[in-house]
Amino acid sequence: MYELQLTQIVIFVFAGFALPALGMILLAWILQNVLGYHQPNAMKNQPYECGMKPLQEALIQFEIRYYLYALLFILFDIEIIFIIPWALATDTLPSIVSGDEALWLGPVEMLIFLTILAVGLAYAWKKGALEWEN
Amino acid sequence: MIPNAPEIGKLAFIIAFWICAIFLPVWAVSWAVGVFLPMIIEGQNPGPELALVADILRTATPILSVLVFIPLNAMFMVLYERRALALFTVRMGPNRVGPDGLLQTAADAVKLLLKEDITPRGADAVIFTLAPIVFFAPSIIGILPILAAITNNHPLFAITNLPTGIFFVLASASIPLVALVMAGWSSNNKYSLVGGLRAAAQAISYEIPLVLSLVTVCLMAGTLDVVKIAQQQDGGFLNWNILGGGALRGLDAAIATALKNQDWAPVIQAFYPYGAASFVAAIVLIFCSHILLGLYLTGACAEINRIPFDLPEAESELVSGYNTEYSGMKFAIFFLAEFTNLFIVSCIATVMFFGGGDNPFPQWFLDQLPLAGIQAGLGSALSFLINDMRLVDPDTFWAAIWVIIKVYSLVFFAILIRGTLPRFRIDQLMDFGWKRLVPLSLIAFLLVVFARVLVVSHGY
Repeated sequence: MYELQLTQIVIFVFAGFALPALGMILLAWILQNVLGYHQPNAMKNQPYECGMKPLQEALIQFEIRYYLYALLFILFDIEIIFIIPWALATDTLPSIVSGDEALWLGPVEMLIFLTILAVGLAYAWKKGALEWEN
Repeated sequence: MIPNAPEIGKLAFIIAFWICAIFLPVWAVSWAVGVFLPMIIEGQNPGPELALVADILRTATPILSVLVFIPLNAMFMVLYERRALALFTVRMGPNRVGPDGLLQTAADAVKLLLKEDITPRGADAVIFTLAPIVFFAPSIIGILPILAAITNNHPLFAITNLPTGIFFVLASASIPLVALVMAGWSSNNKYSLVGGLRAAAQAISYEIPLVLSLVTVCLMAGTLDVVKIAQQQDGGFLNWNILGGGALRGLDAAIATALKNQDWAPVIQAFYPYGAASFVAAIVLIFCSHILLGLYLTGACAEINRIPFDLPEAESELVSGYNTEYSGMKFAIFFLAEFTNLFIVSCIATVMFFGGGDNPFPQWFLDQLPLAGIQAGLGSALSFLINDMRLVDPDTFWAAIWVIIKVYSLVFFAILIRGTLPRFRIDQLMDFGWKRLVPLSLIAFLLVVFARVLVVSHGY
């Protein structure tokens, strides 16, 4: 039905990504060097920490919970990838599988699929993976 | 009668001035590059090389007009936001630079250029420099697939139409998150690090309801192509996806025939075209599409880090979050991209829920007005501009007007939310995302699926 034209790929990849990005780098460098001034010193380059000297390394330990949410997110993201082609084909499903009950085939299958997923979410919820404070 | 009416008047003046200041240059550039120069080149009986140049110019038009549009639009939106917030909180807002503060943000842009560019000690200079660019580039890419939809598939912009439009936009919308983590990690600053991590956690949590709501709309439309989704909603607000994606299409046609025949009985029947089941299904569809809009707006607010979801840069806790260490041009790029993202998000909502460039009035309503005469008169008066110079395409012109009205109204709504709601706490944020919005989006998806079967099974 559709064919992605070469010009479309060119405009999206090069004109859309590389050109503005490079243009912005160049603009930032040129304008900043021409117009702005550049006199760094030790105090100025110190990382900001409420005006005091930074106490220890900036790369502090952080919560393990961020990873839990990331894992759950991957689960749901893959599920959405599965849903998208199904959602676009719902209207054509009845013509593939004939009969009146074929209308309900796709939705019921999707219901089963989402139920399995919801059970997973409920399990994570019950286990406390969704609690920010324990 | 209306409190601070003069302030409202000034805000309206600012909006009118800046919309002209944005769209006249954009229109001039796209006309000059896409129509005028190729017309001159091809008027010279060109060889194949020159014809290729004309083609390249036409191809480059969308990206050039976007590059003109983005900085001007960001300048306008910052001023718009500051003045509107001033209106909500009953204070003056910026009113010194230029008449009524019109040029405040232009002066700000110059100021940011003159600032010193500081890279903090111990920062990873390469990633630190790349982060604003990685943040900014996707917002340009994300705007491209919507261009065709909001210009009513104008030939110059039709090249930006992708068969997987909304999927492409969503894919490019998730890249800025990487940039936020890059900025947070490379700054060698504790506030930045925590800001970047929060941005990641928040964006992935709210991406699920956001994407699911848009997928549900695509399911109602049966396609991912934004141009097709916009075209399906043509013909007045009754066909828009916000009202169930054509669940009321029968009603619309019934009113049109009723007006013609002066017989209003079929309009009542149009509510029950195929019995009670399809009536219930239509009601469910309308109800669900409102929920979907709410889910989309909530998720979008979180995705672009706007109040009440601006935890990554919460200035009362994290100084300025991931961009604490940024100054000068790099900070300006972050700023530019944030406001461009707000515009893109409003554009998507316009195309997916509010009919894109469709005018809200149904055809049977427009037929009651003496518009045809006016249109014909205008058309013959401007035929030189339209046909010979191809200065304006009437369809695209009206689509653009409606899109501008709808998009900036949605932006106003976002500003209103910012002026009204306080910031979430991080645990409330995650709870709300995972325990409320995700189940709600799954339920809304299933409701729409089953309601559609009821409607489709009656051959609508």
